[in-house]
Amino acid sequence: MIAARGIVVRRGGRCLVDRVDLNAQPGHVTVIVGPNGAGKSTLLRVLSGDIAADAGEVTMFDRPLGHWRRAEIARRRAVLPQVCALNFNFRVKDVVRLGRLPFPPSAADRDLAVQALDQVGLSGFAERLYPDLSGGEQRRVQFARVLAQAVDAAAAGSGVLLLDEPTASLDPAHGLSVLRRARMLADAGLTVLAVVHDVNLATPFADDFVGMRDGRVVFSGTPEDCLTPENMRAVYGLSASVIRHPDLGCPLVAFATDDM
Amino acid sequence: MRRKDGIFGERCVEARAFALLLAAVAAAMLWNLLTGALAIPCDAIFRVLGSALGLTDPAVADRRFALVLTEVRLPRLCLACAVGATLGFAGAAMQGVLRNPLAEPGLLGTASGAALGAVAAIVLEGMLTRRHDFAVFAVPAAAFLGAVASTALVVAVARAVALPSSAVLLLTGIALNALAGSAIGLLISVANDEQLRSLTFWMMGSLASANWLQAGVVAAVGAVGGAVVFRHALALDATTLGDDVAGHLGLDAVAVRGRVLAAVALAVGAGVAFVGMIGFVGLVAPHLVRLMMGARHRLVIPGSALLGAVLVLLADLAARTVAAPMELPLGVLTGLLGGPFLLWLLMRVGAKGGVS
Repeated sequence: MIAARGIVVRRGGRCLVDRVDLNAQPGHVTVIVGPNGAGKSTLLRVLSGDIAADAGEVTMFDRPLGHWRRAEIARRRAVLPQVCALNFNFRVKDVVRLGRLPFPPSAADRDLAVQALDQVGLSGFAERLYPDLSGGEQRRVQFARVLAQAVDAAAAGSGVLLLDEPTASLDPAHGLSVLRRARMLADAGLTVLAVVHDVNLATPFADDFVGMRDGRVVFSGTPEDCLTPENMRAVYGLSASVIRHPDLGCPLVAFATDDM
Repeated sequence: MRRKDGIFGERCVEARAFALLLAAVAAAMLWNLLTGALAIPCDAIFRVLGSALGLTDPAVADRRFALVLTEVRLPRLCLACAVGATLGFAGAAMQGVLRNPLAEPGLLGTASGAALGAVAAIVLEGMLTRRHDFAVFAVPAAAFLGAVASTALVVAVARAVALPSSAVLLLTGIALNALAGSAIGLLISVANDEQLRSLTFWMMGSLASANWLQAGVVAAVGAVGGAVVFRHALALDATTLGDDVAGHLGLDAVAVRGRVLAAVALAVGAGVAFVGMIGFVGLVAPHLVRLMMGARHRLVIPGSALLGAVLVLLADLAARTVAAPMELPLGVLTGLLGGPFLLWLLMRVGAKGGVS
C-alpha cells in the first residue's frame, strides 16, 4: 500500500499539489482523474520519489519513502512514467530486460522478458529496434518493462505499481488490455495507482477514483460514488450525464458538448 | 525459434562483429609494424617478437630490426592502441551518460581543460625557468590535472545547480570549453615562436615522441577507467531511459554518472596528456559499433575500445607515412578522415530514417 499525507509541491510560486491526502489499498486499482495541469502527474512523481514534496509525507507499506533503500524499493515497486525518451537503438528485449535490473541476474530473465512482451501483445517484437516502433508500441514496450519488474512482487502478493497515463497513445483494444493487466496484478495483491484520462476506459477496472483539480483532491471513493454529474462538473467544468454501461452495469460518463 | 535467435541469430552477429574488430586491430598493428622509414619484412617481425618473448633464439641479422621495433614502433603502437581504446570507450560512456549520441569525450571540458593545462605549462614554463627537461614532465602533468580539474568543475557546478540533468552538464561543459578556449587564446598571444610551435604540435596531437613509459601509463590508467566504465554497463543502459527510470530500477543515476565521468576524465586525461588532442575517435567509434551490434553498453564499451584502437592505429600510420619523412599531426588526420566519414554516416542513417 502507498499513502500520502498533506503533500504540497510548489513550483515558481504556484501550488502544483496542495495538501493532498491519498490512500491506495493493496488489491485495489486506484485511478486518478482530472484535467490537464491538475497535478496528477506531479503527485505520482512525489509518490514514486522522483521529486521531493515541499511538505507532507509519503509512506509505502507504512514506512516513509526516505527510509527505503533504492534497490529495495525497486524490487517491491514498478513505475511507468508518462514519457520515456530513448535515443539509442536498443532492441525491444533489451529495454524489457532492464526491468529485471533490480534483481540478481537469472537464467529466467530472458523468458520473463518474452512473457512480458506476450502480455502486451508484442510477441515477435523482441529483436526489433526500439526507435523503429510506433509511439503506441514503444509505450507498450515500456509497460512490458514494468511488468517484467513487477513479476516478483506479483508472486509475493505484495507490491506497488504506479502508472502515469498507461493508456495514452494506445488504441482502445490495447488500452483495455493494459488496464486489464493492471487489474490482474491488483487481484494478485499489488497496490495499483494509475493516472488515466479516459474515465470510461478505466471504470470497469477501478476500485477507487480520485478526482483532482488545481492541485487539490475534489472527490475520492468508489466509481459509483465518484462518477456523478456534479463531480464531473467540479473537476472538468463540463456538463455530463451518467448512465449505466449497457453490458457491464458500471457508471458511464457521457459528456455534453454545449459547454465546450 | 527462441533458441535459434539466441544462439545462431543475434549472438552470432555480435560474435562476428567482435571477431571482425579483433582482426582489424591485428591487421592495423601488423601494418604499423611493417611500415616506416625502415621496411621490416613480416618474417623478421615474428622472429624479433619470438626472441623477445624467449621463444626463439635472437638472430644476429635482425638486430637492426629489433632495435627499430622495440624502441620505436612497438611503444608507438602500444601508445596508439591505448589512446585509441581509451577514446573509444570514453566516447561510448559519455554518450550513454549524457543520453546524447552526439556527445564525445571533449564535451565536458575534459580535452579543453587538458589543453589549457598543457598550453599553460608550455608558455609559463618558458617564463619561469630556462630548464627544458622540466617540460617533459610538466606538460603531461599539467594536461592531466587540467583534464581532471575541468571535469570535476563541470560535475560540481552541475550539482550545485541542484538539477544534475544531462542538459545542465552539457551546458556547463560548453561554458567551460568557451572559458578554456579563451584562456588558451590569451596564452597563445603571449607565446614566443618556439613555444607556439610546440603548443600547436600538442594541440593537434601526435604520437611521434612515444616511449614505453607513456604507453604503460596510458594503458594502465585506461584499463582501470575502462574496467570502471564496463562495470557500469547495465546501469548506463538504464540511465539512457532517463534519471527517473534509472531510479525506479534501483539505481542512483547521479552517482552512476559521477563515477563514470570520473573514470572517463582520468583515462582521457592520461591519454591526452601524452599525445595531445585527438578528435573524432570518441564520437565516431561508438556510433559505428552501435550500428554493428546495437546499443547495449556491455557490447558497445569493449567494441568502441577496439574500434578506437583501429582508428588511431590507422590515423597514426597515415600521419607518419603520407608525407614521409615529415610527420603530419595526428589530430589533423583523425579530423580529416572522421569529418567526411561522419557526413557519410549521417546521410546513410538519414536515408534509413533514424539517428544512431
